[in-house]
Amino acid sequence: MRIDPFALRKPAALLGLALVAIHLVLALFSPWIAPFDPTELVGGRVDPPGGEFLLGTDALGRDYLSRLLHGGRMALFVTFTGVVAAVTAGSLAGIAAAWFGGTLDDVLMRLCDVKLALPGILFVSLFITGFGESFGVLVTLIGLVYFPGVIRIVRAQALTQVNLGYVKAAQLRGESAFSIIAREILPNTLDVVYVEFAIRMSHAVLLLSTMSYLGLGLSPPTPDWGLMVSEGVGQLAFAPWLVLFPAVFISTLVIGLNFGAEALAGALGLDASRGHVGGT
Amino acid sequence: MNRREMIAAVGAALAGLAAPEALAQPKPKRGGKFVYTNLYPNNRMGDAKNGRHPYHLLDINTRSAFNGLAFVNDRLQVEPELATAWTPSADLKAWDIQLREGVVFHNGRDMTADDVIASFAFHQARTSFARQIAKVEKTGTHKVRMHLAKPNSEFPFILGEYQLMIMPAAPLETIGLDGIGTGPFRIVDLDPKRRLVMERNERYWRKGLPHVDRLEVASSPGRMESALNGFRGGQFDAVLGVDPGILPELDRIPGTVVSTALSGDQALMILPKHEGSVFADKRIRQALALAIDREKIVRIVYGTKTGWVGNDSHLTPSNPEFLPVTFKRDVAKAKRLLAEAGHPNGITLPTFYFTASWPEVPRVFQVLAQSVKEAGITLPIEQRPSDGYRDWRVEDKARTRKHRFAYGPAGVRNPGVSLYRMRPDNNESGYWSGAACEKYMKLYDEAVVEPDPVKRKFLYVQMQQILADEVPAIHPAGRRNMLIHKSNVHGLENHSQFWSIRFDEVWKA
Repeated sequence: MRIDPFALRKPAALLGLALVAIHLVLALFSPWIAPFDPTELVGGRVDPPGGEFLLGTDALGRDYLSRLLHGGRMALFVTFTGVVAAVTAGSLAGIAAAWFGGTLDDVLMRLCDVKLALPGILFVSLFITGFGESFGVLVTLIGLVYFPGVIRIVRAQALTQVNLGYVKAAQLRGESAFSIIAREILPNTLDVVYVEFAIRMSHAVLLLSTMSYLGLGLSPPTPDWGLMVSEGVGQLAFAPWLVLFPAVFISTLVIGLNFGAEALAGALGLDASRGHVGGT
Repeated sequence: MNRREMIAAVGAALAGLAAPEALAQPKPKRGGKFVYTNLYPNNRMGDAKNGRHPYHLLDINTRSAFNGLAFVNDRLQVEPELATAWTPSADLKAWDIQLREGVVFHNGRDMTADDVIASFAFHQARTSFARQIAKVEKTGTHKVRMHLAKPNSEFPFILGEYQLMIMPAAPLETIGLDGIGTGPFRIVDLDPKRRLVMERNERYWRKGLPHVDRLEVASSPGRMESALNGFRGGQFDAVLGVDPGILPELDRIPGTVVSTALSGDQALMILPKHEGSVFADKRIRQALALAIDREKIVRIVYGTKTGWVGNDSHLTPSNPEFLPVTFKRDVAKAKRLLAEAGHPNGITLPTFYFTASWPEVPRVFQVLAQSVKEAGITLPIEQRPSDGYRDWRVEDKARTRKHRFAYGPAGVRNPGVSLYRMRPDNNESGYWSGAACEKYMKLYDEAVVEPDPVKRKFLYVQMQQILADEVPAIHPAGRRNMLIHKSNVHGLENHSQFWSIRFDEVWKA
C-alpha cells in the first residue's frame, strides 16, 4: 500500500482533515471545554446567543454550546462504533465470500440483495420500533445498514486479488486459507477498506442526524445534533439559531469527512467516486 | 345625508350610548370561508372507505358534521344538543330522553328515535363509553329510554362523547359511512388524512347558524412550523393545538389572537406494580411524587399561562371537583422515604418510556427527570416512536398484567369517567390493589349512585386525597389547550376537550 503525500496537501484535503480534527478535539474534550452540564437547566427559556450563554439556551434553558459540544461526542461515538463494526464484519465477510466462493458467496450476496432492496428509512423505522432507541440498538442498526455495502465493495476488491500470482504462490506453498486471507488478501484490500470507512462515517453521521430528527435516533435528554434540529424547528421563525448551530456542526463534520475520504482515496491511488483505479 | 338619514344615525348613536356592550359586540357577518389547520395527532383518521364516518372523520372534530344527544361545554357542564331533556329513574339505571323535534339530516330526512336506536346499536358494539348501555328502547317518535347495566349518576356526560354521534338509521355495516349527520356543515370533499371541505347545512337546527358558507380543514399533525407558516402567509385563519411552548413568541405575529382553554390533556406516569417492580413499594412512589418539581415543569414547559400542576388524579382544573395539589415538593422527605425503603444512597429507577403525542411531552419528562436528581433519584428516560406506542406500553397485559413504566396521555372528562380510570383492572393504574384501592373503589361505587352533585363532589374529593397519598400513578402537569386565530375571526372558542371545539358560531369580519 503506497501513500501519495501530495494528495494530502491539496486545499480540500487540508480543509477536510482540519474540520475532522477540530470536531474530534471538541468531542474528546467536551466534558472539560463545555461551560455547563448539557442536561442542566441553567438559563432562561430560549435566551439568545451572547452574554453568559455564548450560543444561547434551548427551550428548557440548557446551555446550547454545551449541548452542541457534547452532541458531537455522541454523534462520533455512535457512528464510529457502528461503522467500525460494519466495516470489520463486512470486510471479513466480503473477503471470505471472494475466497471461498460457492454457497457461502451465494448466500451472502443474496442476503445483501435482500437488505439493499429494503428502503433504508423503512428498515430503520422497523428496527427502532421493534428494538427501541438505546445506544446498543443504534450501533447495531448503523452496523447493519452499512454491512451489506461493505461486503460488496470488499468482495469486489478481494476477487481481483484471489487470482493474482502471489496468492497462487501462497496456495502452492501450502499456506492455510486463514493465513492467505490474513497475510495476502487483507493487506491488499485495506486501502479500499480505509476509504470505505471514511465514506461510511460521513453517511452514518447524516443517518444518525436524520434518525434523531425523525424521532428514531438518540432519545432526549441526550444531546444530539439531529435531535436539536428537530427540537428547534418548531421555533425556527423566532429562534433560528436553535436550528442553525446544530446544522452547521453536522455540515462541517460531514464536509470534513467527505473531503478527508476524498483525500485518503487520492493518497491511496483510489477514486472515491468511481472505485478502485490504482494497483497494489 | 338627508334629514331622515341624519335622524337614523343620531338614533343609532344614542342607542349605542345607552348600551355600550351592543357596540362592543360586532354583529356576526354571514358568508365567507373559514380555513383552519389542526396539529392534534389523530390515530383514528380514516381512509377513503371510512373517512366520512364520525369515528374516523378528519381531526375528530365530528361536531362539524354530526351532533350528539348532549354537549359538554368547556366548564364541563352538560348541555342539551339533539336531546332536549333527560330524566333518570330512581335507581339511576334507566334514562328517559326527549329528542329535539324538527331536526333534519343533511339528506333531508327527519331525525327520530329510530336513528338514535340504530346509532347506539353501532356504538354499543364499538366504544367502551356505550357498553354500559344495556338496551335502547323507543318510547315515542322522539323519545327513547336507555337502560344501563349499572346505575350512573353522570350518564348525560356519556351522551356528549364525541364518538356517540347520531347517524341516519342504516345496517350496522354501513351506518355513518356516508358522512350524513345533523351538524352545521355537510361534507363535500374529503382527501383522507389531509383535507376536508364542508359547506353550510342550510337546514341546521340551530337557526341562523352557521355563519360561514364553507369550512376547510387541513391536517398537519405535529407539523408546527408548516402550520405557522401557513398562518403567517394567510393560508389558514386559525391553527388548533398550538405548542404551548411558543406562546411568548406569538406576539411577534401581527394580528394574532391566542385562545386558551381552561385545561387540556395531562401527562400520566404509569407506575407498574406487578411483583418485582420497584413501584410495588408505596414509599418509592411517594418519594418520586414528592421529588418532582411540578411548578418548574409548568414554568419551563408551559410558561405558567398554558399549563397547570397535576394532582395525581385524572381530574383537571376544568373539573369543578378538582382538588388542587395539597402537598408541596419535599426533597428531604423524599430522601427519607427512599432510605426507609432501603435506598439511603438514592435509587436508579427503570427506564421511563414516553412518546411525543403532544409536542411538549418530551420537554415535560426532561425537566421532570432533571428535577428528581436532587432527591437522589436517577430517572433514565427514552422516547419511543408514536406508531404502535399504546399497544407496546401495555406489555403482556393478558398473561402477566405487567405494564411498562411509561407515559400515557390523559384527556379531560367528568369525574365519573376520569376517576374510574384508576380502577384496579385498568393498565393506567398500574394494576393498583390493596386496602386503599378497595376504599377508593368503594367511594367510587357510592358516587356513581349519588344523585346529589354536592355529595358526589365530597366523595370525589376523598378519592383524590387517596390518590395523593397512595400515588398509584403520577400526573405531574397538564396543558391548557391553545389555538390561535386571525384578529378578524370571531366566535371561535377553545375547549379543554379539543375534540369539542365548535365552528357553528365562527364568522369573519
